[in-house]
Amino acid sequence: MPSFSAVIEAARAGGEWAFEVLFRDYQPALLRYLRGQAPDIADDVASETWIAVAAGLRGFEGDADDFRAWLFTIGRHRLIDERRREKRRVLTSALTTTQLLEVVGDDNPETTVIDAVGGDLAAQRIVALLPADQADVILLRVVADLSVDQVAEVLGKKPGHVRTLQSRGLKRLAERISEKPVTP
Amino acid sequence: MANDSIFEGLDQEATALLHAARATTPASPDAGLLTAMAAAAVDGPVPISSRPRRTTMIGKLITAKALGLAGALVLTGGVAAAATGTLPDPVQTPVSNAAEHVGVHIPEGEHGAAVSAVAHDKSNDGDGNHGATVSETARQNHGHEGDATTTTTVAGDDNGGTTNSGPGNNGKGNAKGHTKAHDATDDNEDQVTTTTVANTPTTVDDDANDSARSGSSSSGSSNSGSSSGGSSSGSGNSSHSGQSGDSGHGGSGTDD
Repeated sequence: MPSFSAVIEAARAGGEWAFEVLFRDYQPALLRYLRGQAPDIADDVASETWIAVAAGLRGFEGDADDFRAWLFTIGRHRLIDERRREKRRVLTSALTTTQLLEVVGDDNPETTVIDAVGGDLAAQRIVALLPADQADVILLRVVADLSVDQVAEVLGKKPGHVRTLQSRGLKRLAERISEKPVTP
Repeated sequence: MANDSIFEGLDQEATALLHAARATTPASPDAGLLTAMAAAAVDGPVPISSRPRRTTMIGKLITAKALGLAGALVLTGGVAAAATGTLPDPVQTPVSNAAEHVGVHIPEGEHGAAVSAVAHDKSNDGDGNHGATVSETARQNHGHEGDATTTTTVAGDDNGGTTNSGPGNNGKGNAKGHTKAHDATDDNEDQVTTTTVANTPTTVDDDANDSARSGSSSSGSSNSGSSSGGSSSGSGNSSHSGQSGDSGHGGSGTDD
């Protein structure tokens, strides 16, 4: 198993195998994060993100954690750009049939698809239940597995602000998720 | 996962939701994307999505400016055409009428034709009243009865040459209606004396060769050599003098 730095060097030289390694390691979390925010354009944004990462790889310096934060920073910016350009409304409904078929697993396709859809819907429900900034923090902390400092870097906020958003988001999530529908 | 601490204190449902969101499935890149990534890494930082976006923005700006320029040209061209009386008569007359309401004088479209018809009416030739008849027609048609700009030239011979014109805004009509006859007059010796009296045609000229027969108008107190355009600029109404540009329109009848 090559080291992270070796993979990065090979990717800088244009090695497709290196990009495949990076893709397998980071794409699932990136795609989950994007699908939680904008399921209708998530896959396109993810592809654009990877192209941008490859193009800017020569200027990247850091370890695997830094790469993760950098990847999600680019992905988030691409998502914002795409939303502005397309002026599409963020959908929080269920995935389309096409998106369901695109989620292909390795061992048990049926189970994998169900898990993926469940995970995507869970991420979308978080986004639906929380204000945008709180949902962003929660997804970056949980799905992208970034630290508070990394999330602060991705969002361009101070770590203390990120902690506040996270705390409020979790509290609100617990309150909203336990709410029972009121029947007349 | 490094962030398990954030689940502490959460109830079961919220924790389950976060765990479900976290659980990811393996992903395999397609060959096309890998190839594109490798190419992008070798070629350097080429943000493929931003480049066409900038081009599109520039294109939009250029398109908007081009449309604006074209619109401005059409508008100014239309105004200029109306001011010079070169619009088609069905358009010119309504424009002229509309402009009159705001105090802007624009030539009417059919004035010249109406005056021309009277001027060419052979039945009036030789009776000595031809000029007066034409003058009256001109006065009634141009809609400026109050203007002290009626200019009439009466040729007293049997040619019945009469030049009449209303205010300057009928220059176009005169020119249009009498170009042919005016063309026949190449004599610079035409003597056209113009006296301008409010609504009173009083000018008399005995020149038998007067191009006034053609109905072309004359400038106040000038020799007929300057009347080529069929324009009018009667004294006492400086507001119409600007219509002298109409002479260019009616200039097909050259005196020189």
